[in-house]
Amino acid sequence: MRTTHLFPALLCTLACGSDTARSRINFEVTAGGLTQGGPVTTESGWTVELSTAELSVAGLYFFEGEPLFARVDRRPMRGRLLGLVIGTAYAHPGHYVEGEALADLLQPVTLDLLAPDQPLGQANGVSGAYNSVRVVLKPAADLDNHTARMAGTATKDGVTVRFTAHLDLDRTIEGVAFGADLEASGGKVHLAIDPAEWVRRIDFGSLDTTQVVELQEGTQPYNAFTRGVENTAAFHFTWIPG
Amino acid sequence: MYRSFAILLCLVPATAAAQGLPEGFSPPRLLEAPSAVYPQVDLQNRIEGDVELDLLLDEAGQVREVTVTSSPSLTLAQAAIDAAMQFRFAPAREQGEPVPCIIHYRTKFRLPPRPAWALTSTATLPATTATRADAGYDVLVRGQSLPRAASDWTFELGVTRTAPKAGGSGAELMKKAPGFYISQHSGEGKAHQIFVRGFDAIHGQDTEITVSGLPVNEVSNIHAQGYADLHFVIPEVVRSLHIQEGTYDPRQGDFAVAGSLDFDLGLTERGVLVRGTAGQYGLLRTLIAWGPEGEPEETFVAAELAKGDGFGPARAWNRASVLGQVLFPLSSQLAIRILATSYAGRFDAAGVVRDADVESGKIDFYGTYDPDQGGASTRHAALLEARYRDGAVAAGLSAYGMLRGLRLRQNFTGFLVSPEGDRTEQLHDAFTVGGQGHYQKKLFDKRLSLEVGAIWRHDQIDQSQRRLRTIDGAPQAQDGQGADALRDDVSAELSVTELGLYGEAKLRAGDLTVRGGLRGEAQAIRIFDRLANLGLGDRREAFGYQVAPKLSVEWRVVPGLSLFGSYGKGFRSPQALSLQQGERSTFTSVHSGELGARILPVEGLIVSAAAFTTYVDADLVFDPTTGRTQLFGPTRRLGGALVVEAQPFDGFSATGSATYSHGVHADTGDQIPFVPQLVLRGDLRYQRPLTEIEGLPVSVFGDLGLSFLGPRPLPFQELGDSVFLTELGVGLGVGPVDVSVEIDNLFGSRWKDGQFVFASNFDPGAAASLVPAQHSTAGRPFTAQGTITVHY
Repeated sequence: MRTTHLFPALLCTLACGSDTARSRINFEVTAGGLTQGGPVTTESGWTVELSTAELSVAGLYFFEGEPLFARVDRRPMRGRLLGLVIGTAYAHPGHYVEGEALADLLQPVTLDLLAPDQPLGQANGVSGAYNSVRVVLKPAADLDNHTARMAGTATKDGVTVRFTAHLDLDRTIEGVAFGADLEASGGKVHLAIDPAEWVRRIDFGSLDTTQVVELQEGTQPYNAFTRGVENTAAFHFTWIPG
Repeated sequence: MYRSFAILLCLVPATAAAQGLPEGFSPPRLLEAPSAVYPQVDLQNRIEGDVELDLLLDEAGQVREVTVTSSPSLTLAQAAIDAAMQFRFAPAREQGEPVPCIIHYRTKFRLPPRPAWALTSTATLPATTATRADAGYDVLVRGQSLPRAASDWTFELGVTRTAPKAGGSGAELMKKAPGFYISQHSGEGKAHQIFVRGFDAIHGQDTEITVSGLPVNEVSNIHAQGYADLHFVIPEVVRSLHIQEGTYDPRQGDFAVAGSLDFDLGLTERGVLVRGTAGQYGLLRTLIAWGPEGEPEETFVAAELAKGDGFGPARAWNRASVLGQVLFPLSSQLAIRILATSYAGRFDAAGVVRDADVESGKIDFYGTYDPDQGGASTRHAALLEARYRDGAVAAGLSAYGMLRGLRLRQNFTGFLVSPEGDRTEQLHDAFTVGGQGHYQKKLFDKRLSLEVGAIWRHDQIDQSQRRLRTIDGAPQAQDGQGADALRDDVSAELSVTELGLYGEAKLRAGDLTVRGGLRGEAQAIRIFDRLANLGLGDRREAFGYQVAPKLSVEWRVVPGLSLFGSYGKGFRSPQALSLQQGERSTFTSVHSGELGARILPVEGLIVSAAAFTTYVDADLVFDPTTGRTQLFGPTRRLGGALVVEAQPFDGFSATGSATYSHGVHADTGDQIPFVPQLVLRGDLRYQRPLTEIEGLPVSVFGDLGLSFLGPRPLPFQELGDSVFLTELGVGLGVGPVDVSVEIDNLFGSRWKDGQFVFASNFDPGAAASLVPAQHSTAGRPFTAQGTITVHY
């Protein structure tokens, strides 16, 4: 991780760390697949059914900074109306500033996105306005030292492609949207990962149809798979009050 | 004939045999000498001097007659007579039989030590303390300053017969100041962190500290504004500690936000003092001090050499200090004082440990993650002062020069910021020149006193900060710029000039004393920021000023009861490097108010009580990641203090204080974190003559220090630990030799000296939590030492 990413967050963390009014909280985090393997239609018209969709998540960090394209407006109606007249000033326009770190969950886990929801563990943090999440992806031993793995079939116009793929990413996904005002312990955060995003932009037409193909690095299907795993839109965080 | 004979013997009692005096004659021996009371009129008129007495003792050792042979005033003479009539002696003996005798006796009356920020003192309080000098029968009586507020104290210290606990420097004396708590979180050589009255003064930003006129706070220090390293102060030559909490005195200058402290230097015991201490954790300390007989207490030279291995890994330290001062009385009106000091210290520091890691057994409470923290510090300084006093006029002029060097290596966050480690190195070199002057005149039968004064100071500073690799201590490279681009976070030359002017009028009308004053301060700053403009550098200048009114009223309701009301504005200069081109140098302002009382219910007992409030417009807090202070916002505090000073009988003194302060962020109402709200302190000192062995007096002595610190508010509604500590020293004196044992942390408390909350990662292979976590620095465990002191 580049140190320049950490500095703004740390400075704010420390400045806000002087806050004696807030309190420490913890909450449960669960995760699972959004579509659980159901048929997905890609942008190029292929219908994909996944038989394997696994992802290794090394950690989650919750921040107060709002993501660029997924701002969650939790103001009451009066505040929203006022906001039409009086704008809000945001520092560093055009850049995501993660701001103060509010909570984290550092227990690595490998998720089977086709299985029922799984517990990730207890996140420890402090009370405050949660607005974004950083997801840390790392290769895991129980995933044969891969970060993500998928397999399935893609069908279009009677042609079927059987494929497998894996990624060895060591990457943080910054600025995933999540909006909640957490004032006390209790409740839980659910992370739903949509594997449809992994295949949505893959052009299966370039692949061999006679055998199970492994997506090769440097090819369009592999690059589209990579972008899909990294896509913040694949991650959906929801606060479920306790 | 007999009378003449007796005089001769008693004037040279210690050498009677050597002078060929009759066999079997032994001179009288002083057993009990109550303190003389400094007359109020002499304090007000600033009259001091020696009263020479002849005492006629009878066969029982009782004083039968006192004859004054010389005295600066009638009232001083009477005070000396009143005290002398209560003396008790073991009688002189001739062939074993008690005989009458006349002895010569000298009582020294000295005006209160002058706070460095106050080149004149305004002492009138009839409270006194007395210190008995061992040499001959000289007695020193020093008046206490008249407080301008209830939170204005002078604590007489002098040479304690027990040695400083754990080889501590003069900085440890701050513990005795009411409401003060000092923390040593980064090695025995770094300036202490000071908490006082709800302020986290960090390393001195909110407490103006001087040592006999020499400023200690450092302007725009790279580590912390107002950094005040007191390790050069040798505790045995600190004659008294003058504490002004609040900002009510126009002589108080930069950094007097919570208050001011002056260490008044002087060697109260004349002759040669040699002291050696050895103790646990490799502690060795030697001290040699010399105060020439017949010279004023201000004239002395002292040298200290000390070392320790520390009570855990990475805590070794070394210290060498020389401190000397000479007072030349050129005439009855004019005196010259020269103070010089040279100090060097080096120290390791263990840094912080994560509380969670200690609880899980991952690291020992006294352990360290990064053993290569620490630093080195030097100070060389000299001060020249001229004092003039003639009747109703008093004036003073002083100038000083100082060279300072500081290197700090610290790692608060492990590997959180950089995979190569977060150890930072801070370098600060400064050359400082400055001076003060004042003129005071008393008018209308001394009922009106007018004073004007000025200070000037110039600091030329070179400072830098960069990150070091944990693995080998080499400088880190900038991201993606190769090894030749070193990671300098700060690199700058600063030039800071500060000028101050003050005036004060004091009017005494009956039982009412009103003081009103004004202080103006201007600061001019030039900056050369070497890192700005992509390393091409940037030159900036800034200028600012501050005006601070002061007002205090004392109403002497009845003799022994005074009520005080005080208001004052104080200020702190900004970190120079934070200023932009042409910016007004924005001083932080503090407004302080206090209502209080001082009561003297009986002789030897003083009780002070005060309720206080402060408002600071821009407070600072320490940021462990950058290793520097950051803006926190406006704060206000409300609190109270109770201080009791007692000398119920000769040889015993006690002081106790309780201070409570509630501080909040003025905008949000949130409590100020890390600052103790309740601070209790007690100090007891006792000494008593026991017997005599082969002509040598035998005595016992001891002192006890008790500190209690209430739980500190921490961020996220958490509380720090409370702390209770006990220091003990006991000893036996035989003639010129004292043998003593000193113990710090008598009950072996495992306590957290510093407590912090921030994010860190000390495991470079693990995912780093960014959520602020509790960290602490270990306090000193049970530490015992033995000391031999020879005084001749």
